[in-house]
Amino acid sequence: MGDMGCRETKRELERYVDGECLKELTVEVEAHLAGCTDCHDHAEFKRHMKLLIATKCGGEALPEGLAERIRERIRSASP
Amino acid sequence: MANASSAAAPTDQDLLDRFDRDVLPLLPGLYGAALRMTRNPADAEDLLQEATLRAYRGFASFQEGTNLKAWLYRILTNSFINIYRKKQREPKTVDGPEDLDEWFLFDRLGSQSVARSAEEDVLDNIPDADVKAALESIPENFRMAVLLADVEGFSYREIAEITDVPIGTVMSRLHRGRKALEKALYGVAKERGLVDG
Repeated sequence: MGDMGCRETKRELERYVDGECLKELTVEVEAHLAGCTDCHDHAEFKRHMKLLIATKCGGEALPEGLAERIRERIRSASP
Repeated sequence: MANASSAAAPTDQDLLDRFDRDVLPLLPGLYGAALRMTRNPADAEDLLQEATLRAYRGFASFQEGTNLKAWLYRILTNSFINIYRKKQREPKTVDGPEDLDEWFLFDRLGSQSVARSAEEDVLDNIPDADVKAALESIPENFRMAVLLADVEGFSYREIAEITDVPIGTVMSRLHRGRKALEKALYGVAKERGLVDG
C-alpha cells in the first residue's frame, strides 16, 4: 500500500475520477491521495472540471412542442 | 390483420406506449446532445426527429431490459454521422492538443497563486454559454467523448459501444478532448478578464 508515486498517481487520475480504475488501483490511488496534498489538489481539479462540464453543458430544455411533434411523426410513420 | 397467432407481437399501440414511457423522459438529454453535435437548434431538432424515428422503427426488435439509453445515443450518433458529417465537412484531422501540457489549466490557474476556492471560482464564473461554445469548438470525435462521459455520464465501455470504437480509443479521445477543452476555457477566461495574461 502507498507504493504509488506522484507520477503514477497523476497518470491514473483521469480514470480514477471517471470511476474507471480497477478496484486494486483505486485503493492505491486513494492511499496516495490521502497523504499527498499536491496529487489530491490535482484530483479535485479534475473532479471540478468534470462537474463544471456536466452542469454548464447539460440540462437543456426541450423546445416547446418538440416532444409532441416527435410523437406525431412517429404515430404517422408505419413501422 | 390481427389474429390469435400475432397476439404475442407488440401492437403499434404497445410500441407507442413503450415509447412514451421509456423514450420520452430521455428526450431532453438527447436533444442536448444533438445540440452539442450539430451546434444549432434547427439541425438539433431535425437530428432528434430523425433519430427517434429510426429508434421507433427498431423499437420492436429492441430487447427490453438492455441498455435503452446507450442504444438511443448510438442511434443519435449514427444519425448525426450519416446526415451531418457529410454536410459539415469538418476536417477530420485538426491540429490536436497532443503537444499541450498535461496539466494545462491547473498549472495556469494555480500559477495565479490564488486560493483553491478562488481558483475554482474562475471556472465557475465562466458563463454557461461560453462553456458550451468551448465544448462545441473542439474536434467532433473529442467532443462526443467528453459529452457522453461528462454530460451524459456514460462509462468508457458504453461510449465504446455508442461510438463504435475500442475502449482505448475512447480514453485517448477523452483525454485529448479534455485537454483541448481546458485550452479553450482558458482562452475564454482570459477574454473575459477572469485571469491575468
